[in-house]
Amino acid sequence: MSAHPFVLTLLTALGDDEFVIGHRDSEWCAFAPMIEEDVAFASIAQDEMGHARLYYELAASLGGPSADELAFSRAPDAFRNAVLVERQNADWGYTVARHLAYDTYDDLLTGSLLDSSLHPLADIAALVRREERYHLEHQRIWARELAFGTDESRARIQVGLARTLAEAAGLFETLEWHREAKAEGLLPQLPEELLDPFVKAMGEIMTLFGMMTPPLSPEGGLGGRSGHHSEDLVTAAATWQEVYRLDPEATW
Amino acid sequence: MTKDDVMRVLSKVTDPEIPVLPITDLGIVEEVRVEGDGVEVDLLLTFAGCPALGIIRKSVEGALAEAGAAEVKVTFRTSPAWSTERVSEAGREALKGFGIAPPTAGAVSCPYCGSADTHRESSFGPTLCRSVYYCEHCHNPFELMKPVVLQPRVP
Repeated sequence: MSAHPFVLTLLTALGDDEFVIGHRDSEWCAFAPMIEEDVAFASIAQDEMGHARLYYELAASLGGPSADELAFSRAPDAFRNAVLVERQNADWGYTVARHLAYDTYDDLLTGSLLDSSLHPLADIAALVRREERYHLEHQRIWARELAFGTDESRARIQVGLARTLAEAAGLFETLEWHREAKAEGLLPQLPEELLDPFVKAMGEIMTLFGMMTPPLSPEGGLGGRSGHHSEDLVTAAATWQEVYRLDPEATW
Repeated sequence: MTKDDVMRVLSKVTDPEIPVLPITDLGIVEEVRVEGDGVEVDLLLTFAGCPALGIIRKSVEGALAEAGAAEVKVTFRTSPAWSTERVSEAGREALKGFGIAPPTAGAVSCPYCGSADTHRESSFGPTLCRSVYYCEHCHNPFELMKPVVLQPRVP
């Protein structure tokens, strides 16, 4: 018996954010500013993809396609991640700013999911939070380093933050399936209800590091939750799906 | 096979990333069920993306088959949540002997000289479960098994 479509959509979207940012993290391996960051971003990528697998496998156990099919055989417009997480890494300033924003959002989201009426989802949220704590801490350390580093590093994190907040609203886009999930208790809070705490948390971090708070544009970066993505996702998916598509029947 | 037999077999299966640490001391063996010559083992998920989990599954299946189990089913569970507080005292000693400081919420002591004059180089190390530290006293780099405990929500 299959769960309601909104349940599968919710779990898939939760996995998609983690999977896609995990792919972007993995792209830093061997290219980061220092070898410790090659290791750190490769580890963070592995964590995020592990989280995606948990959400995907829960969807699969409720009647959805397998985790491999979800990650490797869907067309880009079937992904439900926010546009923000699919953007190319650009420079280190943007990478840190975007990840800091994403981890701040994820902390609020998973904290809320601890109360989900879908108990396996609450269990996953608890597991994910134990690891995300290290991600958030890591990005805060880097944001501080860049903010108090050189004029150039400060300018880059500031520009990165402005670019991030211009599209961060996409994380909080709330659609009908979110409302259905909330009505059933699966989603204790709608994404839009997490927006104010997010803005407050980001503002506190920026004040701490003596940075200006760039505006969050309410219409920026929308569409990802309904499958409207940028070209960045199309090229990224072509990369991570290339091997699978060569021979979908292959066993490893 | 009895449950005790199964536990004895499992106490010889180690984490491939920390080969001195049996999975029983890692604290991931949650439940064992024996029915006839079939065995079911429930293990707890450690780090979600840990590539060692698949190897541990295969090791458990192989070791139990060798010990006479006709059918072995290994399941990874997300509940109850594993935490590093489940690592046994013997496991903590084994980690130290391997050059890894056991997980702690307090000051991190060097596994080589015991000094607490250490600092963290990076949260992220050669495996998902290890952070990189440096000992100011004996000047050795070492690793810490990353403490993971449940995180309450932001107030």
